[in-house]
Amino acid sequence: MKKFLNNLKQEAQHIRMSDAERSAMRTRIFEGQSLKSPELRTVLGRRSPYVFMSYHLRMTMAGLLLFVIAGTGTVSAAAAGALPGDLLYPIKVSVNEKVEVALAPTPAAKSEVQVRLAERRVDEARELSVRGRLDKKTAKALSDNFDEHAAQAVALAEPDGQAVEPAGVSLQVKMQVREQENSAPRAASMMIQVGAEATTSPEQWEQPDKKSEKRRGSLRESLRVKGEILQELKDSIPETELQIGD
Amino acid sequence: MEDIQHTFTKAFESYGDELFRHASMRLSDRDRALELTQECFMKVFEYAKKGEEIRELRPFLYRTLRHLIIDEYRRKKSVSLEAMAEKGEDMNVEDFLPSDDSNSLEAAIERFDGKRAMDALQTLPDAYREVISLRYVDGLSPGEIGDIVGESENTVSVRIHRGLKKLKEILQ
Repeated sequence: MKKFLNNLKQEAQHIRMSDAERSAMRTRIFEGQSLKSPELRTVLGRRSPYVFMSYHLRMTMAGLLLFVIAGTGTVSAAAAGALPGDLLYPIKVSVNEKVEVALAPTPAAKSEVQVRLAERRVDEARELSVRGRLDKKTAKALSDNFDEHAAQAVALAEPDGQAVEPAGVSLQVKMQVREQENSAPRAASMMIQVGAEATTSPEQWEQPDKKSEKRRGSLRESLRVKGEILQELKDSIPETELQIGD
Repeated sequence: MEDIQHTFTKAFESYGDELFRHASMRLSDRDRALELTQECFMKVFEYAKKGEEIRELRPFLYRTLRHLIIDEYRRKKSVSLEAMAEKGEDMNVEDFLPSDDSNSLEAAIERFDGKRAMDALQTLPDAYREVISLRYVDGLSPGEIGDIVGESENTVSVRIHRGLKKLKEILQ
């Protein structure tokens, strides 16, 4: 019966949310409805970085990509569930994950991928710990890799200096300028005034900043919590096997 | 407010999976289990934001999830017995496992025994399944389980004992 209960426990450990499910749920719990989430809006609001390519070039690239994916797909799909110590783990980390980052189109999306990869290190540590395969060396490697991804995620979420200009403001300003060009004498002074208005036009400029600040805050918070969990897993490794090698 | 957010982020990272696992084992429907887990966190989060006191978060989350599962059972019962019977036949533990696990022979053998154990548990009546999964999968004490299911420690111990006995019969 004891063996049965052990089997049951082991089997139950396999039941868990996937990375995507967990991150979607987190967004819904802590940031309201998924479609209203700021991350998604930023992603949807940006222009594709591939607009410079012609239609044909884009199609050729897509075809090529499909070809490459079909070729490497089998190995990398097999590697997807690998854990540290498994034969395919290096492929998962140095091929699959690099591709995932490279395929993310915008900095915001790249940041999300980095968060996901950092989370994956915590999951791997947890899984290894359940199977009793987590040792100090692996834990150290996982936690270094976690720090790396977490740092990247935060760096990519930082504002890049070129805030998106709220369309409404610039249009309004241009129209005002045109009106004033008609009333010739005061045009110059008024334009300066308008210019001043445009640069200070307050609420509409501050709001997106506040939002992204909040988003970065919650990102840091969630990464910090995960770091703590990883640390706890690391601390729970028994010291026993250390002296054997020495 | 910041504190509550921090506590809940931490609770979600620590208990999210075990609550989802519990819901999965009770409902045998991965999607519904996901939805109920989410609803559970949202409800408790809202409750805490209103300034209500929660003494211990983990049992509180389990209790909330338990109510949601009971509601789900009631709702399902009123739908159709036929649909339930069909669902029962289709039910497969594999359906709510992520596909990225076992990638070695050893893991496959382990999984075979594990799957048999899980299948046996699924044939138990829910009252037994509940206490056995809380006791042996989530590792809660009979006292803690009593707190969640609203029974005395003694009643819970008896129920676990009977559940194990039933499991033995199924396995023989």
